[in-house]
Amino acid sequence: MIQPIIAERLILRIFTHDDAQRVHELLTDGQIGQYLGMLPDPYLLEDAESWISMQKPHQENGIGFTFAITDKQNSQIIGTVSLAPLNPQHRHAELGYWLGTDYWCQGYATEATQAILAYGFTNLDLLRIYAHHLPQNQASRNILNKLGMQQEGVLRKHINHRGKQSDLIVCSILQHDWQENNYSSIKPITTDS
Amino acid sequence: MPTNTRLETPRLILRRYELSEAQRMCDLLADGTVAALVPGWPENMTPEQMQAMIKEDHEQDEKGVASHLGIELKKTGELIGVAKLVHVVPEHKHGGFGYWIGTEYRSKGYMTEAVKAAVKHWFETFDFVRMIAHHMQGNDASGKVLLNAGFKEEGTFRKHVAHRGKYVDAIFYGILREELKY
Repeated sequence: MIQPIIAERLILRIFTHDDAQRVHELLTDGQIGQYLGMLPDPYLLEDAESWISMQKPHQENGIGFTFAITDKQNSQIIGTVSLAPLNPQHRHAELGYWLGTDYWCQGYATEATQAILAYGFTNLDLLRIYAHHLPQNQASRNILNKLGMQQEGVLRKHINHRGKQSDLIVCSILQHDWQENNYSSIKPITTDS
Repeated sequence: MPTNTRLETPRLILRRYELSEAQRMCDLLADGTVAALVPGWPENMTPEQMQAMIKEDHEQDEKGVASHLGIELKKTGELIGVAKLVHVVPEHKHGGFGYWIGTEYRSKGYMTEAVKAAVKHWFETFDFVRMIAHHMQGNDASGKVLLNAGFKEEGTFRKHVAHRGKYVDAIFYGILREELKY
């Protein structure tokens, strides 16, 4: 069982099957699909269900950890943050995240990603965490910059996004840099059993 | 996907490799130079292990999720290396591949010749818009093959791969269909 990660205003916890409806609701609202490269279009309730059901085996095998971002005040899911896929042999993982459009521009993504980075570099002892973003997603890039990530490359026309081949920008941070730059002062609190 | 692919270049033939060539592949790999440069490559494979691997390669090819091509030197009829498409992503129309060649056949342009023919073939067969490959930092010869074949360097993924107790950078390359000039 993966314990929840407690941040300042947020609690990150694993998903349950009952969360599919809420995930579907958040992902089908408005503009979010413009920015997420890998999202099925249209996004169906079944997509949310199968996405959630895949998470448990990934967690058990240590090849991916996905958390619901919940509001500490009312326990409502506002988005997701993940280290998936994770490669235990090479000790690297991809950081992924999204928030429902109502929750943008309030620092939630920064808070959630900082917490999961700390989890990845300390609890999971990863050496490298990388992230991809579409070129037009400046908000996401700002978050990656705040995390101390640096750009490593541009994968040209790497993905089909809404019928068009799009570049994908790759950024990363290494465990060593994360520790050196005192990003490690941001510690997640996990409710240990 | 048909596995009877046969591609001809001036000096080479690219074609399926057979179980009967397991010993030949072991011989080509025996000096360990491929394992030293390719992370995760198994060292000192026995012919039995090699046969199991070849069988697996054939199965993947038949399912259409990969394409493994042996590189045969025309003048001797012998296998000298391999080019293998191992990462096929139909929804994003891209594919990733790897390659190796026996030590005594390097620096003669064979690998570039083979990669060009294989890449052209895979673009057509799988309807890719893009192909990718990467190598470990320090394996400059591998990078040269890709640049010779028209690839562009797209990024350096820092400490991306564990190799013999160290974590090393991986250099990534890509080519778009419209950049294929051969």
